Formats: sequence, C-alpha cells, structure tokens
Amino acid sequence: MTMSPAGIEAGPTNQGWSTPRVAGLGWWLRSYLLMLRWELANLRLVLPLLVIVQVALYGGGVIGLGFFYDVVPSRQALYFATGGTLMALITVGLTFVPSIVAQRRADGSHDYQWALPVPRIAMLLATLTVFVIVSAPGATIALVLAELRYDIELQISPMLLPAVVLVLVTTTSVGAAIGHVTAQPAVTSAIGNLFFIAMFLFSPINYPAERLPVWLQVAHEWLPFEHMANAMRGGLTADLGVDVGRSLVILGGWAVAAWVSMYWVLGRSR
Amino acid sequence: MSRSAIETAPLSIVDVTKVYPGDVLANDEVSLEIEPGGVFGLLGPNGAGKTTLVNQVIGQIRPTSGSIHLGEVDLTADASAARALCSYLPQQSPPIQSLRTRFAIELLARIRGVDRRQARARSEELLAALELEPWADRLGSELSGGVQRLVGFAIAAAAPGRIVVLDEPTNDVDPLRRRLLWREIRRLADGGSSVLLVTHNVLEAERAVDELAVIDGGRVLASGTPAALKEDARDSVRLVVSLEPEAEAPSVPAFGDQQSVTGRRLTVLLRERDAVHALHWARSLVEGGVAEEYELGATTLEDSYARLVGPQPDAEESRSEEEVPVS
Repeated sequence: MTMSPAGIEAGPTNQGWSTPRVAGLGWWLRSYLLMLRWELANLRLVLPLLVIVQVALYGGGVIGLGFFYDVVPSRQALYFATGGTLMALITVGLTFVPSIVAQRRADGSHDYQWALPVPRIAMLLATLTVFVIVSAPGATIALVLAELRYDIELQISPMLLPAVVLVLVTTTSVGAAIGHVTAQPAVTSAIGNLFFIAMFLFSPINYPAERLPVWLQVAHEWLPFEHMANAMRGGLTADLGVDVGRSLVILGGWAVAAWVSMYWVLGRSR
Repeated sequence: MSRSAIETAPLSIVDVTKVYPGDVLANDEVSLEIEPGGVFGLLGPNGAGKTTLVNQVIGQIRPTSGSIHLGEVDLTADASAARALCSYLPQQSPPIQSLRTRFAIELLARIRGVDRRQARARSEELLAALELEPWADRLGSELSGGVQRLVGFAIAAAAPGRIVVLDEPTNDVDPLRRRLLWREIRRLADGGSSVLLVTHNVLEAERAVDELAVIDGGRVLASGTPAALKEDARDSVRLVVSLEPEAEAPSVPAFGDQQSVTGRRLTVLLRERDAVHALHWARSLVEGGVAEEYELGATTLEDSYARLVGPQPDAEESRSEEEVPVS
C-alpha cells in the first residue's frame, strides 16, 4: 500500500471513511485536473462574458489607438500591436483576478477550497490555467487585428512562451494577493482602475520609454511593466531592438517574488 | 501509521487555546477526547468558540497553544494530513452556486480521492436517502437554504473522512428531512467516522449525539453523555406555567431553584420533594387568573444547559421546530 507524506495508508473507499492517497505525481496531476474542472464549473457562467469583454476591449483598443494619428508610423504600429496584446494579458491578472479572489474570500469559498485535500500548488495552477484561457482570445485577436489594420509583419519566436508565462504568473499572483488582502470587490475594482491608468498612460507599453520623464524611466527599469513589454516585443518582433534577455531575467525575479508573496498571503494560517 | 491504527485512534484535543489578533480569546484551554464511531456534539450559544475549535481540527486555523492529535498524527503540525483525514460542512454552505447538485457531490467526492464510479454510486445513494432527487439537476443558486444545507451535508458524506465535521447541519432544514439527515449522520458514525457536530440546538443535541461538550466563552463548561450532563438535575423537576397574555410574571416562592421567563412561559426548576407545594402554587395562579395552564415534568438537557450558560432565547423556538422525534 502507498504511504502518504503524512504517513497515512490509503484504504478501501467503497464503504466507511476514506483518505485520499496524498502522494505521487499521479495524485498531483489528478488533483490538478479535478480542480481545473471545479474552477471551470464554478466560473462557467461568467467566463464567456469575461472573454467577450476582453475581446471587445483589446481588439477594439488596438484599432482605436490608431485614431490618435493621421497616419500611424510603422514603428508605432508595432508598439500598438505588442502593447495591446500585453494589456490584454495584464488586465486579466490585475483587474478580474482581484475581484474574483476578493469575492471568494468574502463569501467563504476561499476557506472551503483551501480545506480540500489537494496540493495547494495544483489548486493555484488550476486557477491560473482558467485565467490563461480567459486572456488568450483577447490577446490573440488584438494581435491579429493589429496585423491586419496596420499592415505590419510579426515574427513570432519561441521567446514568446516564457514571456507570456512570466507575465501571467506575475500579474495573476499580484492580483490574487491584492484581492485576498482587501477582500472587498469594490476596493479591488478601484485598485484595478489605478493599475489600468498606470499601465496605459504612464508605462512604456504602447510607446517607447524615451518619451517618459527621466525619473519615470529610471523607475521602469525596476518595475515589471516595461520588462513585460520588452519580453513580449522580443517574442513578437525583431524590429524594435529590445534587450529581451535582461528583461526576462528581471521579469523572472518579479514572477518568483509575486508567486511566493501570493502563496504566503493566501496560505497564511490564521 | 496504518489504517487500522487510525481506525481505533481517538481524536485528542489537548489544552487548545486560540487568541485572535486584538486579544480576542476564542478558545481557552479546551481539552476533549473523541472516540471513533460516535457522534460528538459541540453545544453552545453563538460566539461560544465552537467554529473556531473545529477549524483547528481541520487544519484551517492554527492554535495559539495546545495540540490536536488523531492517534500519532499531529493535525496542528501537519495541515495536509488534517485535510486528508477530515471532511467538512462549513457554516456557510459550500460554494456550488454555478454547479448542479449531482455534479457537485460527485466532483467533490472525487477530489476527496474516490474514483468516478464510487463517486457516482455514493452520490445517487445520498440523493435518494435525503430525498434530494427533485433537485439533483438544479444549480446551487436555485436551491433553498435548507436544501443547500442538505446538499452540503451530502458533499461532506459522499467520501467521508475519518473525522466528519458538520457545522450546524440542520439549520433551515425542515423537520421531516432532519430525520433523514440524522439517520445519515448515524450511518457515518457506524462506518467508523468520528462525527463532530456543532449545534446550538439543545434538543437535537440531547436526542442525536452520543456525547457532547457544552462550550461558552471559549471554555468547555461540561462534557459527557447527555444523561450524565443531566445528572446534576436528577432529583429536580421542572414546572412550566403558561401565563395569561396580560399577566405579569408572579414572584416564585422559595422552593424555586432556578427560574426563567420566555415569552409567556415561566419555567421553574425545583426539588422533587417540593413538587406538591409547587402544584398548589401553580393551581392558585390559574384560579387567580394569572396563568392559563401548567405542567410538571422531568428535567431536560435544556435545564442543565441553561444552568451552565444561562437561559437561551432560542431554546423555545427550537422546541417548536423539533416536533418529529429523532430515531
């Protein structure tokens, strides 16, 4: 019989009490898949709506930005295409995730889920997977529309994958920690708006960093947003000449710090 | 530790104290020993510290001091073992608003480790036993409070843990289905689980639990079987006088040990030897137009409970709700 880390033998389950086999990769994967089903089932009434809003916001956004120019310079068009795609990824983590997590903390769902006998990392990755699913259509459509509208050519490289993963891990972790700490959907939506303005207007996501005041440029050397943008640009085009390696390293640091903080905040014993 | 060792191990709660931030003392040196295969009631008024205590058993809250063991397994040090060993019905029903009843029971049973076939069989069994079939394909958001409670119980019972924690399972449940619920709770205990049942309903506790602890202000005031807890009132009887609507509560003669008024009911506990005096007094109240009727009877757990924690305003309410006897 398999022994669990807690030293409890798995037993027959057809009658009487049972304990799950809490060990092994098979158990871990099984837990991940079951928690993914749980998440998808729980959010299934809001997910289609979230996807539609994302597609409208960022598909529309990437086109709308063009109206600021008579003729959009091709370099600027590349910023819009890569920046719009990034915004679609970031906002899921920094606006939707906090309100959903705050809601769950307030109504007791978080405590319930946290008491289930599944590995917590598998549980959190299942939640992360759902948000990847939500952000993918908006980001993809933003990219495709930008390509069609501005007649630009993108060169997608394998570096796109680590960039997307690090962006999603960082933003959803920060979002979940904020949602859990505030525990009030009204507060998280205000914080979400603040993030949105900070990213949209004051971060070099849709334009190059040189346009910002020097002090803000210095700040962005250490904040994650410019590095997220650089990592995405590195994965989508070779024409903007960014230092992808450095950005991925700094972003990796942010992703680890954000995940660890989130894990600590959510798992803290009361 | 083997399954057979876990099977016979008691749940030992030793000197558990929990202080929340802001110096809020929720549990104060609570010690209890809970044997396998029984229903153990935690009885106390709102805010007594019952939920805090069970949340420490399931590994959700860490005690400030003290320990909780199941045999050799330290549930306070190993929260993942606690989660594996306990299944749980929280005070707020499980978050299944967007899930259909049958699906929710099956999925959560599988998350607790049983395979698809067993999860389905057990879910059908519980849906039938609790007469929930009409709601089997409804969404959680469409269920009434009482049905949500029953579904929450079915989820905790589908793949029960060695410890099953039920936090006020009968809230909002109608008297007929309560009976079905008690039968299933008994089955869990017969299957070898220790059922830890949180309630503030004294009459339910008296009829349905094997042992209980009365908790108030975070402390265990008394524990034992319902009969043992009534021991201190054994040579007492209770006189219940129903007052006329406009009448003021009369002063009770010296034979009354303890008295309380709830609505128009005046309850007096007295020694058996004073019963004749008491009956004369009660009859004089009826003849004097102060009371409508009176009744002399044996003491109940409620009387001992009232003696321990003071009279409970909802005790009468629970009496009228609980008209169907627990089998």
